[in-house]
Parts: sequence; structure tokens; C-alpha cells
Amino acid sequence: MNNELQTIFTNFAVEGVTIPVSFLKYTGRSTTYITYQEIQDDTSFSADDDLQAYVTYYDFDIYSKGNYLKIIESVKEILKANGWIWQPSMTSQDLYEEDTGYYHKTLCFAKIKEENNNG
Amino acid sequence: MAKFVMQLPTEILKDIEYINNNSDKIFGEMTQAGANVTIQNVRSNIPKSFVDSNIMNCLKITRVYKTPSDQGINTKVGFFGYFTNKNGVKTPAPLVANVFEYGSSKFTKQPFFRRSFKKAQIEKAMLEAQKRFSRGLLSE
Repeated sequence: MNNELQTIFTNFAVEGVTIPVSFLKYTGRSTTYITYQEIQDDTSFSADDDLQAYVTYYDFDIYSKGNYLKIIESVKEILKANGWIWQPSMTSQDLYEEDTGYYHKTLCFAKIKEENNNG
Repeated sequence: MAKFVMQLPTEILKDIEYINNNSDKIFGEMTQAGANVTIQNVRSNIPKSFVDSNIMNCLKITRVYKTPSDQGINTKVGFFGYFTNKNGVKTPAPLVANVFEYGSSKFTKQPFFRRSFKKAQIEKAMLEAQKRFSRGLLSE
């Protein structure tokens, strides 16, 4: 799944500015960046006493010292185009960190994955 | 001309009257049953550092209440109020819970709250409460 996301977000740019997207932690110098991580899996379809498919939920955390509304829209657009479903009820409110000056927004997306039961 | 008159049996009318008179209580009990499942899940998913902290006193279920805008019947689960942390500082509990849930640029998140809302579990508890408080009149 992480490989898929890295491919989706290769050279991710909003209004001509490239925004780094990394798993769990960002260690670069950009003041606008996105981190992502899996937060949970949930059973979706079971048959023949076995799991056939499940829903995986991922958080995408947008950090920026400026207006991030266009970034939110771009993230939603690119993930939707790749089969991800936005989860408004699991998305955060607008957050602000007094000590660092970062604005922060968590977007939650879900995707149905098939379970490989062939061994 | 053929005529057909049908009268509902008194017992059925009484049942309908019972549901009508007690709907707020039934729905309230249903939301509370769902909230009880959720709070148990929150307690089991809680980050380790919360366990011995005073913040646990702030994890609460509200009373059943009605939203004025749509007359919806609700029960909330959440962190409410302030707690005194181990440094003796009075701290807003929702703020701390938020940082753990969503993380920050300096702190890796430990989501525990959103994952505690297990739809199937909550639905099951609510349907059981519905059956119990409607005296078995309403079931799945």
C-alpha cells in the first residue's frame, strides 16, 4: 500500500510548488509537507469462514505555515482518482500549533483491499 | 354493497401507544448502549501514558440529550474538562487527547479514539437495547 501511495504522490505539486509526501515522519526542510500512515484495518467481506476483503484506513497529515486549502483539494482529487474514499467523519478539525506556527489538517481516506487467500 | 370493517385488537393499539409514549426513552437507551461500547473500546485502545494519568477522569459519557435543531437524540463520549498533569499543571483534556489522536509536527500520533467506533459492535448493542426497552416490540 505504501508503494502505491509513493507512486501516486511522486512529484506531487500544488500550484507549481512540489510538496514532499512521506511515510510517518518528514525529516526534510520544506515548511509544507504531508505525512501518511495506516491507522486501522476493518473487516469488510467474509465468505467460507475466511476474510475476502477488508477496508484499510489511512491518515494524510498536511502541515503548512500558510493557507493549505488548495493542498487539501489536490490531495482529495488525486486520492479519489486512485480509488480512495474520503472519510469526513474521521477527518480532523483545523489545527494550529502555537509553538511551531504550523497549521495542520488530518484527512482520512479508506480503500477496499482484497485479501489473498491462496496461501 | 359488500362492506368490510376491520378493527385493530386492543393489545396492538396498546403496543403502539407504548412505543409512541416511550420513543424518547427507547432511543436514548439505544444511544447510551452504543456509547458504552465505545467508551470500553476507548479504554482498551488508550495510549499507555494515559493509563495512570488523571486524564482518565476526564473520559466520560454525557447524559442523553436532544439537539434543538433536529430533535435528534444523542449521547456523547469524549474527554471533557481539565486535569492536573504529573507536573502539577492544569491542562485541558481534549487538547491532549487531540494531540495523541492527530499528532503534531513534533509528536507522532497514536490514534486511539476514532478506531474505537466499531460500527458493527455499536449497532449490535443499540439493537439489543431497542429490543429490551421496547419490551420486545421492536426488534431487528
